[in-house]
Amino acid sequence: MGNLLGSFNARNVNLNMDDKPTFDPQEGFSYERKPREMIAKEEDLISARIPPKYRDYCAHHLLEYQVCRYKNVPLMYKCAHEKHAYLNCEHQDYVMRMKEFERERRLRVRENRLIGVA
Amino acid sequence: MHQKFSICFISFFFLFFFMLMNLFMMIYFIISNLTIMIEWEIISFNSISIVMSILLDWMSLLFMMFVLLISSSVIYWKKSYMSSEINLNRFIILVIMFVLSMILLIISPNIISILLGWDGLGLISYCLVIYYQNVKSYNAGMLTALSNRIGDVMILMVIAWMLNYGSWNYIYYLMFMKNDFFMNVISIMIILAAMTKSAQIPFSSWLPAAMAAPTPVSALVHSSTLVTAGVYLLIRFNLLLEDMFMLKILLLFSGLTMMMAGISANYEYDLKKIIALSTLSQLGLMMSILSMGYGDLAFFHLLTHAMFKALLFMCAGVLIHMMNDNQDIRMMGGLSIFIPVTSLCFNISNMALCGIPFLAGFYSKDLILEVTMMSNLNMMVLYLYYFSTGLTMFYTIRLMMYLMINDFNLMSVYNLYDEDYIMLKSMMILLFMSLISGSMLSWMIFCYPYMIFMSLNMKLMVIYVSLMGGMMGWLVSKMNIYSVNKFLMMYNLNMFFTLMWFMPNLSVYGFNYYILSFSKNLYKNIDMGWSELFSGYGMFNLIKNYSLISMIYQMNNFKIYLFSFVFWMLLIMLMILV
Repeated sequence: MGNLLGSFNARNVNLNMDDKPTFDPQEGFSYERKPREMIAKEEDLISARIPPKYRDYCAHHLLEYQVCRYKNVPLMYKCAHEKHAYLNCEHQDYVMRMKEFERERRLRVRENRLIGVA
Repeated sequence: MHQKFSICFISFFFLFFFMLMNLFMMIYFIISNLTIMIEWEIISFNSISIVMSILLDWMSLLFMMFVLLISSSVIYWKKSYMSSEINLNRFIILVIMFVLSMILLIISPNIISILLGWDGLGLISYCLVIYYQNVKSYNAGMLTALSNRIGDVMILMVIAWMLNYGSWNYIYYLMFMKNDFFMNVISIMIILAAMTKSAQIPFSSWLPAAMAAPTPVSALVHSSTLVTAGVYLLIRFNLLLEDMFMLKILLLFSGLTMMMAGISANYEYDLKKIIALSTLSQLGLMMSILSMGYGDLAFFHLLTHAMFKALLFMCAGVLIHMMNDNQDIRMMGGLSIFIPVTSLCFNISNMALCGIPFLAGFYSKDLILEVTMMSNLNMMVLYLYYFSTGLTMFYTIRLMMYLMINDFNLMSVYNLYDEDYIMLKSMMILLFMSLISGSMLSWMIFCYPYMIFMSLNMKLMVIYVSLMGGMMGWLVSKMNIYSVNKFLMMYNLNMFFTLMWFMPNLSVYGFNYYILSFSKNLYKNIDMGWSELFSGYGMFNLIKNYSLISMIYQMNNFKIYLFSFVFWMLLIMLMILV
């Protein structure tokens, strides 16, 4: 229901959870926005056999977590710090994506208002 | 049974030893991300090769470890529970064959060897359900076997269809064949097979009926091994099944199974059936999270659920023994005073089932519910999930009130004892596991942890629902025979819920009855009728008639000679004259 209620109003402007951003990323900002940078290297991810769907912007934390797990077998609870760092990063990433979603929704509403769709 | 080592202890020892071996291998495999496949070609015929293959990865090893742990402690427990059994060896051998066929199913990535394990499970579960020989057991066994047979036939059809691909090692081309139409047909059949084995809604009547089996069998078979085979099969096929329409139907059916089982458990008074229905409810939970695409969560819940459900059945077995082989919970009560240790195990496993924090069930169930909350689904699915969670608490509290809190009924006084150390020892193993396995597994198997982010009330929704369910359970258990019974005002609805949405009636009278009477008619009209007339009896009749005709000639040959002589003479004379 987190997603259901969060995206409820977006249906009015035909915006769904999987849609990509359609507006200029710079629109409405006074300063220049930088694209996010990927910290983990591709070859590290490949050598650590991280599946493609986990190769996101928090993958460097994930690598650290995997290293810690490898060192602390089988007492993996010792990696609680690394796991928390990874999940925290994922949380920040989620918040950022939700903000982008909301920006997209508001920009669409604004566009509709300017055109006069009601 | 005064030998030094009984068959139970020997079986326990070997199974436990294999369990330890699997544990160490599993830790090694999971940390080095290793998968081993061993193939042995049995026969190669043109382009088709039939191979026997073994797949060892962390998933199969972990599942095997859990199956072996549960079966070893159940077999050890059986030494005391079945001590008066005459054919104990036969029973133990049946159970070990069952465990072996489950292991064959777990380690095989090949649909043919899966069928071997799958059929082995079906057949031996039939033998185990009818172990106590009476009419009720026979009926339950037949219902179990026939319901599972649908799944067997589905797997057979999958084998036949996979002939087109030249190999039965489906694991190799799950991703490759994803958009193939015929692969979709195959996966629909696989889903149907899994639905029969895991007792999802159209086929769910056999699971409570199979409680006619001895309690150790229920502890092993109907909680952790047999019914999870379907879930495990779908976990293996998970890559293929993503984004399929059939999965959405499965999501609906499994959600309804979850709710149906939860509601029916509240109307049930049979101790073992209540536990069976709660198993059904948890199976629905596993299947539904699986059909949302989270195979690892389903696997996690499968493992933790196996632990505490086996323990729950074992405690129920002890209780049934104590209550003079009576399973009715209305006959029990106040047991926490008389048998404190068994009650402790019972309560802890029940609490783990409800998902009380930091027991085994909490880690898996809470994660599943939160992932559901995070994902992009409609309100109906969420309602099914959360309502069923409340229902779990509902029937658990009701059961606990009936067994532990309410007054003792003095049904049996002589039998009450809590000093059976063989039973207690094996229960302690599972008790320890159902305390720690949730936390241990959640650290162990989730290499890539799930990020959960939601508002406070949504996070606490599980607690709210559980509290409400618990309160309802407490209220319902207060119901007395002289209290004003509103249930009678809705008698039909009551029957509807008590009889599991009429599913046993539908699948016995509504389905099997017509098929069986149809086949009776076929037997009467075809086997004994037309085909007998035309093939067996008819051929005999035909030959008999012909030989009767030739016999007429033989018996009357003098007359025929004379007659033919005269006839030919007349003919010749006529020719000469003319």
